[in-house]
Amino acid sequence: MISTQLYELTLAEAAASIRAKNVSPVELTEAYLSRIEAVDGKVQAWVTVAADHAMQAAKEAERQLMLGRYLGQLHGIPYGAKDIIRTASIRTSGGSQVDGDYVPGTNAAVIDRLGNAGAVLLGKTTTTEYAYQGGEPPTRNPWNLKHTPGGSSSGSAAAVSAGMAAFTLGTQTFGSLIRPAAYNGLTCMKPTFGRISRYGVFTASWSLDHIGAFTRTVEDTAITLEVLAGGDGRDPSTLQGESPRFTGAIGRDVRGLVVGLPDTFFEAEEPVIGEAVAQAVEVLKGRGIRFKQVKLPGCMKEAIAAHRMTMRAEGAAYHMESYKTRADYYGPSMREQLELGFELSAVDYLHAQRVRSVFRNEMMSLFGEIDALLTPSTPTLALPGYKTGSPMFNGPFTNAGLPAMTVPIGIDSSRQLPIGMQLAGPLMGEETLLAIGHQYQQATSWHLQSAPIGL
Amino acid sequence: MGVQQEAEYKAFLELERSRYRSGLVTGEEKESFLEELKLLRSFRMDDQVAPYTTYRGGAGR
Repeated sequence: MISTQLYELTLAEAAASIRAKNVSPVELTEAYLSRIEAVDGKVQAWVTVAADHAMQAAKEAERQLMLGRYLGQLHGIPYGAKDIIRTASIRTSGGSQVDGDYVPGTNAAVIDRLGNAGAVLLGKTTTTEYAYQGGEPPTRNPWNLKHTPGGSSSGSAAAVSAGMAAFTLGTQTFGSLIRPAAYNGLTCMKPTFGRISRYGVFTASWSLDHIGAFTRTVEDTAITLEVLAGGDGRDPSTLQGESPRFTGAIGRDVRGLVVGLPDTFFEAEEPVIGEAVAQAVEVLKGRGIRFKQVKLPGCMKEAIAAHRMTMRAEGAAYHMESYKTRADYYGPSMREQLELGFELSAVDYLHAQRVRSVFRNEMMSLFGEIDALLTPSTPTLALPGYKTGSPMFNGPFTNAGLPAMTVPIGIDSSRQLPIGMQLAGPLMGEETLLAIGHQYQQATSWHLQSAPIGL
Repeated sequence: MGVQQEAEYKAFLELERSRYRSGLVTGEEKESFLEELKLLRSFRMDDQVAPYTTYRGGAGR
């Protein structure tokens, strides 16, 4: 075993220790709560730490183990959830003052799924206001406290990066999983649209919202996805039928797979990112993957405009009732987007959805000639200050509902900030991305590096 | 949060608020919105292209 502290274990390592009864769920939960106590003053990833709730769940997980009832690899594993995901009896603020003291009576579907798998909820992590742009929380990047962890899933990314949870849940409507994961040196999958139920999660945009998990390794991503994925009649956008066995996919042979390198659009602003991506390509070539240049759809600009219009319109529709009476409680940046959403006509909204249909079809055609696409995860490294950075490299895959994953591929030595590469695939193409990402992590150790948490 | 960190965060929030002193929508964002609208309206598509839909049925409300 590489790690020495319990909070440094990967999820898979912790799961193996629990199953072998070398570590108990209570010990592991205590270790994470102590870590939160020690470092969250600097990082500020948590809105609510539900210590009593967590210890109760950990004791129950331990009791089940003693009875011989092992529920799988998430049994006894402590995690956090973004504060737009409803948690029964635990405040769900949405990162907003609109209804900041809201305590739900029931759990979101993902919280129930994780609970049924024996996972232990530690608490709720910070978010921008309702996962929109603006309303940035005070959360800091554990790699360099002067910099943003990204957003909107700011706290979820920072918590895992700082060793305050084995994994966390976040959401992505533009780039809110992949971007913060890359900024924090984490591995994270935004799965195919509909793969994970959004039931019980505050909506940013019905047709764009995705749920995913922040983890340290591809193996851990596969473990979480396997539990989270599945149809749910309460979220009619979920994919029906049996979900794949994602943990089985990571060992797949990747030799001969063809990965596309886009000819335009995904050009990083910082040379250090381009250099890291070029090195990652060489690593993957060494694992038998072939590369080819590919041409992106001609309607990239229109697709981005359609994406932004969709967010504004659907956000305005979702918040319409509370905005009537509580407009002044919304932050100025979110309010700006809602105001623009109210201005948009039905005809323009539908036109934007038609543009999205064209874009998605063209992206799917592209995947007729390649197995996956490789790009930098972000145009820049994590920015200094509080603005959460550009999601532009992540938006196209959110817009089209295609799966995308980020994997750490380097660290900028001058600023001590991580660099990520993004792998994207066709609809339901998660298994190929997991296999490629896992092969990369078999050959490198970037994913095993820990954030120093210092100024 | 340290004293310096708190001061920096408060200054950031104040700067953000100051961008909206003249109205709910900044001139820059309004211009971007109108440009995007123009771009979308000028995009020609086959009349067989239907709007992107995500719901596949289910329980509803």
